[in-house]
Amino acid sequence: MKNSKYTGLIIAYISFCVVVILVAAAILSGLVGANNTNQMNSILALMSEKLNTSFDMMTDYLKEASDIASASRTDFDVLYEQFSSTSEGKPYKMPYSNIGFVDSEGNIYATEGEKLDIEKYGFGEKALEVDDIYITEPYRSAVTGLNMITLFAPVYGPDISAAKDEALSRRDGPHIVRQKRRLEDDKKIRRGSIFVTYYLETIQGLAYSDVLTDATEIYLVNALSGNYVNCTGTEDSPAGTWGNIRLRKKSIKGINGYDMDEWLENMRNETDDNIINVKEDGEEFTQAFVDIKGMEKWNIVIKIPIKELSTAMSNFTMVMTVAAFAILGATAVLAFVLNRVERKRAKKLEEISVMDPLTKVLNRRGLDEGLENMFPKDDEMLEKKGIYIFLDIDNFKAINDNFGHEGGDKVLKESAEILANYFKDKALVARVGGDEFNLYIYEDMTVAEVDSAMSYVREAFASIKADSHVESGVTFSAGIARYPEDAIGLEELVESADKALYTVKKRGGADHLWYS
Amino acid sequence: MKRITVAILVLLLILSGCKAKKQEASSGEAIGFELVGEPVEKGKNVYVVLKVLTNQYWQGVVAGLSEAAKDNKCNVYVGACVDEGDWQAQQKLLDEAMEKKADGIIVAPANSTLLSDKLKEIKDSGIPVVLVDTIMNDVSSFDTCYMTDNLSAGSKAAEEMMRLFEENGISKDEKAEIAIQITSTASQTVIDRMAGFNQYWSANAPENWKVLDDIGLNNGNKEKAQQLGLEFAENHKDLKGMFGCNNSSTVGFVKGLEESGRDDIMLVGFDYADETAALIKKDNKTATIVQNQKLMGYKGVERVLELLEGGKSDLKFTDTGAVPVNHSNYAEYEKELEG
Repeated sequence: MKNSKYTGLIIAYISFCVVVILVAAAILSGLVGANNTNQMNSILALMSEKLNTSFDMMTDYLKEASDIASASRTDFDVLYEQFSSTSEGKPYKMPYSNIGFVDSEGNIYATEGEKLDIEKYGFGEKALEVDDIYITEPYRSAVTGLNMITLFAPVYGPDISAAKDEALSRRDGPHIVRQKRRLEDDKKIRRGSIFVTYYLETIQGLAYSDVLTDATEIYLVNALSGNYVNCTGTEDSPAGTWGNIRLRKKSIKGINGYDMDEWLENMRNETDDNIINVKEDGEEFTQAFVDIKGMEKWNIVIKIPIKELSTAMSNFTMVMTVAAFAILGATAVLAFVLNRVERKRAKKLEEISVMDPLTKVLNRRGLDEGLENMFPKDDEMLEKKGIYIFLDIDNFKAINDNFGHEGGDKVLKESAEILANYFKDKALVARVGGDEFNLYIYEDMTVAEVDSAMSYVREAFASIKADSHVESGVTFSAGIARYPEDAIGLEELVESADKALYTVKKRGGADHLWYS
Repeated sequence: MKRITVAILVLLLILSGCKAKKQEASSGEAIGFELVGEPVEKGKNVYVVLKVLTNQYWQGVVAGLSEAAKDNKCNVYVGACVDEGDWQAQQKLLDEAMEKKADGIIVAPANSTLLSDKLKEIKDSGIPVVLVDTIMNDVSSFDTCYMTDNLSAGSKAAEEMMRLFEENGISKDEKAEIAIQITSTASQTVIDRMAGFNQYWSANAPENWKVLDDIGLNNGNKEKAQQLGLEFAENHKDLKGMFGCNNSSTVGFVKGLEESGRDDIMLVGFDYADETAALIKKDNKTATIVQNQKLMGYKGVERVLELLEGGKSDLKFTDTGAVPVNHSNYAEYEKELEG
C-alpha cells in the first residue's frame, strides 16, 4: 500500500513534468511564430522602405523632368531631342531605357519601337486621363523583348509654342505676349505627358537582396487579377515570367490557422494584415505583401521558407525540449531506482518486523497479522476449517545448558526448518517464545494427517544434533485444537490448544494431544 | 554495411535516371530538313527549325516561309521534331544547319532556356538568328522574335468575352461566372494568355462578373477537356462564359457545352478548329482568337535576309498579332485562309 502511494506520487510528478515541458514547448513555438512575424515585418518594412525610396527617386526624377518640360516653351519634338540626348556621352548608364513625350493629341515623340509599344497598349490615352504619375502594367517591349514598365507624368504649360510666341511678339509686341503667358500660366493647360521606360529588372532589383538570395522568392502580384511576375525565378519559371495565383491555389495552403483566401482578400483591401504561413510542395513558408506606391493594386510578395527565418529559434526550442525530456528521463530513472531501493528496504523492514531473525519463521507479530487476515475481527464463523497447534520443545533449558546457546539456537533453527518445510503452503509457522512454536494449519488436513505430521516431525526432531556430532534427542509437546469443532473464535481456539498442551506437559511431554 | 552501400548506389542510379528522364523528355527524333518550294541557284540558304509539322498551326508557319522564299528568291529548308517539347532534337538540327553552312537560321524554340547556349554560339559565329512563335528568356541569344504577344492576345479574348456578354444581354448587375481551361501549367504561352485575360477582365469587367478560381487542367487529353467543359456547365448555374486558352481547351469546351445542352454560355477560345468554327457560325455566342502564324514565317525569312544585308536589329520582339474571329467576320476569315 505504501509502495503504491509512492508509485502514484512518482507518476503524478512525471505527468506534471511532461505537461510543463509540453506547455513550455508550445509557448516557445508560439514565440518562434511571433518571432517569425516580427522578422518578416522587419524584412518587409526594410524592403518597403527600399522599394518606395527607389520609386520615389524614379518618380521624383520624372516630376523634375515634367517641371522642366512644363516650364519650357519648346515644342515636344525639340524637347524630345534635348531629353533623349542627355544620356549621350555620359560615363554612366542611365537607369531608364527610353524617354519620350506624348502630346494631348496623341502624337508620340520617341523611338519607332517605343512608339509601337505606347500605341499598342494605349498608354498615351491612359496617361492623359491621370493628373499625376501614371505607371503602366508590365509589358513585353518591342524594343528590348523584355518586360518593361513606363512611368508617365503630366506636362503643363501655356498653349503657346515658341514659334507662336515669336509670331505674336512681331504682331502684338513682346509685352502683350508676356501678358498672355501669365494668363495662360494661370490656366495650366495639359500639353501632354513625358514618359520614362524602365526595365522590369529594375523593379526586381529594388526588391532583391543578397542577404535573402537562394532562399527567398519575390513576386510582383496584382491583387485584382491575381497575375504575378516572378522576380527571382526558378529553373522551371525564370525571372520575368508571368503566372496567376489561381493556378497555384490548389498547391498552396494556409497553415497555422492562416487562410489563403483571406490573405488574398487582405491584399485586395490593402489591409495591414499582410503575413501568412503556407505550405507548398511539402515545404512551409512565411509570405507577406507590401503595396507598391504608384502601381495601383500591385504588390511585392516575399516568400521565405520558415526554416530560414526560424532555424535558430527552432533549434533552440528543440534542444530545450530534448534537454527537458532528458532531465525528466533521468529523474524518472532515479525515482525508479530509489523506489526499488526503498521497496527492498521496506520489505527488509517488513521481514524484520514479522519474522523471527533466528529461525526465519514468523514471529508472534507475524502470526498475529496472518491470523488477523484469516479471522474476521467480529469472530464471525469462518467457512474454512483450521487447526491450531501449540508446540513446545521439551527440556530446552537443558539443551541450552548442555550445548550452550549456540547449540540451543541450532536446535531452534533446525526445528523451525523442519516445521516450515513440512507445513509449507499449508500453515502459518511461528516462533512465539524461546522454545515455543505456534502453527495454524489453514489447508484442509484430517486428524489422521495431522497425527502423521506430528509423527514425522517427532522423528525429524529426534535427529537434530545440537553440536553436530550427537543426536540431541529433541522432543516436543504439542496441543492441538480444531476450528470450528473445538472453538468458535480464534481466542478460544488458541486457548483450547494451549489447554491441550498443558495436559501433555502434565503427562510428561514428548507427545501431542488433541483438545477435547 | 555492404548492403546499405549497394542500396544507396542503386537509389542514386534510379534518381539520376529519373532526372535524366525528366530532361530528355522525348525520343530525340527529328524530321530532317526539306526544301520548301523550288531551289534558287545562288540564293541565300535559310534553315528553319520548328517544333512539329503535324498540325494546322505549323502548316500555317510553313506557308509563310514558303511564300517568303518565293517572294525573296531564297532557299528555305524546314526541319522539325517528332515530339513538340524535344529541344535536344532541335539542338541536333541546329548543328546540322551549321554544318550545312546555313546563311541564316530561324527557330521556334521548344525550350526557352535550354537552347540559349546553342543559339548564342550560332549568333556569335555571325549567322543571324530569328525566332518565331516562342521567345528565349535570354534576349541576347537571338536577333529578333516574331510571335503572338500572348498576354495581349489573352486581353483581346477578355475584351471579346465582354462584348459577347453585353450583346447577349447579360447585365452588369447580373451574377455571371467565367470558367477557364488550360492544357498545362508548364506552357508559358497558355499562362500568358490566361494572365492577359485576367488582367483585362479585372480592370474592365463589372464586379458581378467573376472568373472562377477553379481552373480546368486537361493535360492535353481530349476526353478530359470535354469532361471539364461538361462539369463546368453542369455544376455552375451562374456560368455565363468559358475561356479556352488554346486549341484543345477550346474544343473541349465546345464539346462539353454541346453535351450539356446549355445555350446560355458564351465561349471564347483560341485557333480555328472545325468544332469551334461550327459554333461560331451557329450564333453570336462564340468567338475565337486566331494568330497570324503565316506572318511569323514570312517575316522571319524577310528579317534574316535584311540582317544578312547589314540591317540592324532595331526591334527584338514583334507581335504578329492576334485577332478575334466571330459570327460577324468568320466568312471573311475563311476567305483569307483559302487565299
